[in-house]
Amino acid sequence: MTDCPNGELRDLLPLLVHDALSDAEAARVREHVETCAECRAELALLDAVRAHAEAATPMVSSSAILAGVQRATADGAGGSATRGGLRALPAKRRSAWLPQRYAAAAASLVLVASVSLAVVGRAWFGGGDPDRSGADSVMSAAASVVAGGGFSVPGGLSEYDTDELTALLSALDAMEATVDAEPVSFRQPILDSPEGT
Amino acid sequence: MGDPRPTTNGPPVSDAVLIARWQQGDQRAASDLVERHSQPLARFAASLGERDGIEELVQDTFVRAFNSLDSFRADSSLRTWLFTICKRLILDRKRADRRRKDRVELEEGHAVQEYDALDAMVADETGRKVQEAVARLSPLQREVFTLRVTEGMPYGEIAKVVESTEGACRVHYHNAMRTIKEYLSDD
Repeated sequence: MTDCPNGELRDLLPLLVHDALSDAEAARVREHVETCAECRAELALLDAVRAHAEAATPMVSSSAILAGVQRATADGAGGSATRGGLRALPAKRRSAWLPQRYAAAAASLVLVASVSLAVVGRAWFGGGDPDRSGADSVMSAAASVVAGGGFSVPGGLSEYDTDELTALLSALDAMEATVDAEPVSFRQPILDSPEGT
Repeated sequence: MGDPRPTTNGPPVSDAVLIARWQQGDQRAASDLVERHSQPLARFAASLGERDGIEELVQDTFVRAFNSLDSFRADSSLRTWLFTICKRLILDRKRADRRRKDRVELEEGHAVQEYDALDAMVADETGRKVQEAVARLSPLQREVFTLRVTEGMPYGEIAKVVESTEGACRVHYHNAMRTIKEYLSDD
């Protein structure tokens, strides 16, 4: 069995079998098939493959499936129950912890920025320099902002020395910022998967 | 397919319309969706080597879909989404089976054996030859070929189900067709 050189039309033959082409496309493909022995043979092959697939698949009962789905979803969480059957779609879930996560992230950024300013201020102006009060005020302001967001440091950041602040930053670095919610990829075909058979 | 299809009771109704009706509490819409997609999902599962518990697998597919329909994105057809869920469930099953060591590694020869088990269902010689030819395809070729030929999916939808590109799916389809033709010509 050879291939028709008109690859574009040959490519549409499966969709012709399924009546999934527009009227214009279907007419164009049928017109070609009438004059092309290769495409007629391929069309017959496609019909045979489709018929085989349908014959080889056991019939499933959609009513039994629906009953099972109703049983399973009736006990599901969320959603408003409808008249004795499937639950209607649940409302879109809003993550309650999301705003807190944003607040914590913002607080962390403010904290890091303020500590950086403090370190720079000390490096520039020295420990006993009166101008240091500028850096301290920034730190205090930052601490008050942080406290407002639910992430408080007792007494303000100015009471902590460099070592303590460094330890605090290390602890922040070690915190898990986001949940790893990436789904497992299944790029490999099912039967090809090293884990599947 | 998400496209409108004839129903027994009236004009064609698209999946999107049925979903909207179900969201408003119309139980008949859910029934129509199940009825429309059950057998294609069963064919897909069978083409991937599933033999036992196909009805349960299809049911699980709908349960998972209906429980998370709020995450369904309209840029993909419901059919594509259902097939994707079904494929994930099959993959989970196969992993569980493998862990239980109830199944051996599926290699080329084993694929042929699985299809050979369907001999009783294939009444004619042409069907037997087609069955053997399809069994010779690589797993990915078989997935693409099945979705294209038995479900009439466009390459864009197939690409989403098998997580590949349209171009790659087109190549897989034509390679599969060539393999089948060669087998049938040699026979």
